[in-house]
Amino acid sequence: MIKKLLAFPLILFFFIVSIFFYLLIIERNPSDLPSALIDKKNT
Amino acid sequence: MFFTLVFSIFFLNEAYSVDPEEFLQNSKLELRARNITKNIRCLVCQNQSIDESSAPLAKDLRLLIREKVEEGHPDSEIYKFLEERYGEFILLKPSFNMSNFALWILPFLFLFFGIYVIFLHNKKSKNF
Amino acid sequence: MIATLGNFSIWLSLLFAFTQFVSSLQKNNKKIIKFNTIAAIGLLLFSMLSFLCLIYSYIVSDFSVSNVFQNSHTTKPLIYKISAVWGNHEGSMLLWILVLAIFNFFIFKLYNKINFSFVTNSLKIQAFVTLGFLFFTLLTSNPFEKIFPVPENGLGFNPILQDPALAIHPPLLYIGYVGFSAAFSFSVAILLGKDKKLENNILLFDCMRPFVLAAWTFLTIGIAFGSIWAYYELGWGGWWFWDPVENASFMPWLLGTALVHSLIAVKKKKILQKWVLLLAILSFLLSVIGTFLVRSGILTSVHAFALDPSRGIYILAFIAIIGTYSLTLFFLNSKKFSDKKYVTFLSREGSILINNIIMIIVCASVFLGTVYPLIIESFTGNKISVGEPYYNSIVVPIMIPALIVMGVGPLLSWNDINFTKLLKNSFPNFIFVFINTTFFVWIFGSFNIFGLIGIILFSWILSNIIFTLISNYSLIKSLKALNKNKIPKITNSMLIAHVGVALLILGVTASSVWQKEKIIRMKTGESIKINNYQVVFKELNEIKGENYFALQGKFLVYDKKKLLITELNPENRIYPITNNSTTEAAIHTNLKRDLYIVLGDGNSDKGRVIRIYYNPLVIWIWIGALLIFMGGLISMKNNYNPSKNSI
Repeated sequence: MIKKLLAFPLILFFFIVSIFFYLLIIERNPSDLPSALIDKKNT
Repeated sequence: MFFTLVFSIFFLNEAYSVDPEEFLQNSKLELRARNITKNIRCLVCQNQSIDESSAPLAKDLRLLIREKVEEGHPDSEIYKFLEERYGEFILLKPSFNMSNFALWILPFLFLFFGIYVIFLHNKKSKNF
Repeated sequence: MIATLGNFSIWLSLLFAFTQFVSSLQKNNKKIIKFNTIAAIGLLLFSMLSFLCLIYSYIVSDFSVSNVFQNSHTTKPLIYKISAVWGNHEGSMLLWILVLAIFNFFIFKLYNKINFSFVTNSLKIQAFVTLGFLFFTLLTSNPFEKIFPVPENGLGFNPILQDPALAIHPPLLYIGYVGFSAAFSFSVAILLGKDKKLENNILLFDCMRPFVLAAWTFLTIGIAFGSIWAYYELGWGGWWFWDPVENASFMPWLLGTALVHSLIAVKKKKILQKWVLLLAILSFLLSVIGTFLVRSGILTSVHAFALDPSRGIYILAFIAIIGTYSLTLFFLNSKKFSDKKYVTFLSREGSILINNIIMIIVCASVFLGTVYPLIIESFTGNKISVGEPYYNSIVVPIMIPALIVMGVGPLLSWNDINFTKLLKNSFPNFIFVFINTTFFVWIFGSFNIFGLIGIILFSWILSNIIFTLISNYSLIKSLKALNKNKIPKITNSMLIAHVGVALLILGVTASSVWQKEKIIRMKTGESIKINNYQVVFKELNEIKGENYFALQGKFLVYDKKKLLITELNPENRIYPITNNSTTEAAIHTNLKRDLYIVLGDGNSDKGRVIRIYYNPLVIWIWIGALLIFMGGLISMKNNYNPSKNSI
């Protein structure tokens, strides 16, 4: 049980890093509006 | 002369956030409306609420919200309306739904887990 | 010429860092020390030289250097030419490396004689971290990159950053972030150590203390300067906005707080070693992850640096390497640091444990809020926002128990104490808290649940410190205390820092709960009343500053008796070089309140939009932060050399 708990930070770390990595390699601009909103902007 | 020129060029289109003319007459309703605008994200800005933003779109939204408040819609309805029209992105306080479940629940799970850890230590100490 | 020298110095620093990294390959211990001596000193000298070269290039406005061209301008005041060095990404990396080298040097200098293999390992890890940042700087963000043809003048520099508080904010913050690298290196070196004897390891944990204290202390004051800047520059009367950049500095601070306190428990009770190892690793990882979040452009923030994906990939790869290595090591080797001792609630160590856990929970929640939109986006493609209202509703309630426990902490001794006795001892506290709270609520004349909680917490922490002081004094005086262990020992540093936290809570509570705001349209000559003050809009002038033009309002503030209190001059500035405009709030501060005026838009016919804030007790936030900083400094001085303390 304790042994498993010790691995928890490592697993969490992998999860977070892989998400960051995924977001870096895909084409995206964080300040872009979500596409669904753009045409509604001026209504 | 030079001064006036500089000022007329640069300060002409300045606009700063919420305007006194936008305020509602009824102070109770105004308080409610103001509170809502503080929880709504300005879509074209980086990380601001529409209350703080000087963007024209933010102004439109402020007016829209005040109109809705004056018409007598409750807060929840206004948030829902905005969410349906502009998407979840507009809410600075994410709503409690399936995908945001973890966001709202996890901190409290952390808390319970923390309390559990403390009790674990404490219980053992009595047996020790 | 100077720029070439600077560039060359970075390469030389790289060479020295590499020497230090491989020095342990030497067979002979004496040779290793010799290599490390050369490496640590060389690294320090050449990283400093390259930094000075960049400063020089800024001072003489050498626009053949691309970085200077991008971020400086001949019309800029000298002080902001210098602060521009670290006001941009490339230059700040050079500062980051310099601070790394300074800490590296101190690790070497302080502990070289204590424990050979431990220090060698620490220096090796530190060298690896330094190498990582050196390569990063050289490959992706070299500040000495040339530009040709040489431009006539620079592109200027964001005027919002031309500010004294923001000029010293980054160096202070970097001492904080980078200081945790030392804790990280020590933690990994301890995990690598082969010595199983607990006593020997405790001494190693003690080595961490001055570095952790330095990091945490400077991070505290660095964050405070950032907040002060946000307070008067952003013009919202607020000072904390839960922006990702702020969160990036707040998260290591929270873990640092836990770390500082756990290290005391390690020393006094030989418990929590495993906690400390993990906290030290995580606080550095979070510092670097924070840097990554801000600089990779992965999320939106008010103060985001320029976007460049290749930088993001590099830092992330670096994070992945050091994170995987250290956390795997923790997973494999930390078991031997388990302690068989347990902790009771009603003891100093119990209160430290509880506070630790809450700090970690708060940190985890802030982290969750910061990265949650990213997680959602990568899984569903939806964008969501997590803003101020979320953090306020999550962090505040979780913090409250921590602050209650913090209040009672000093009252407790290192061993457990009888509950009824504690209750009896705290009786005068309850009275003090009651009186004090009633007094403040009466002063502000309105009831608010958060205000009430804040004031109670403030009084609670303060009263516990006061009464502990009194009882300690009388105990020692009466000579009844034959057993000195029974007296809960409180150090000056703790006393000052905790009073600082109490005052911080007071300021935060009062300024957020009892803030008054007026937004109106005013013509010159008109006046408005805000909380017993009469504010008269006297005139509006056009003025010319060193590198800007401004509209400046002249406001006269009168009190109830019609006496002139002050003249306030808020400005709207325009910087023609970069075509930036800023609003400069005018603030009148005293111990009771801030009066805060911002000039808005409008014209002479309709009048101008004026925002006036009455912010009670704001100054106590800064005084509180300063006291925490001083407490940290005193503690640093007292724990400067652990080998001396322990022997």
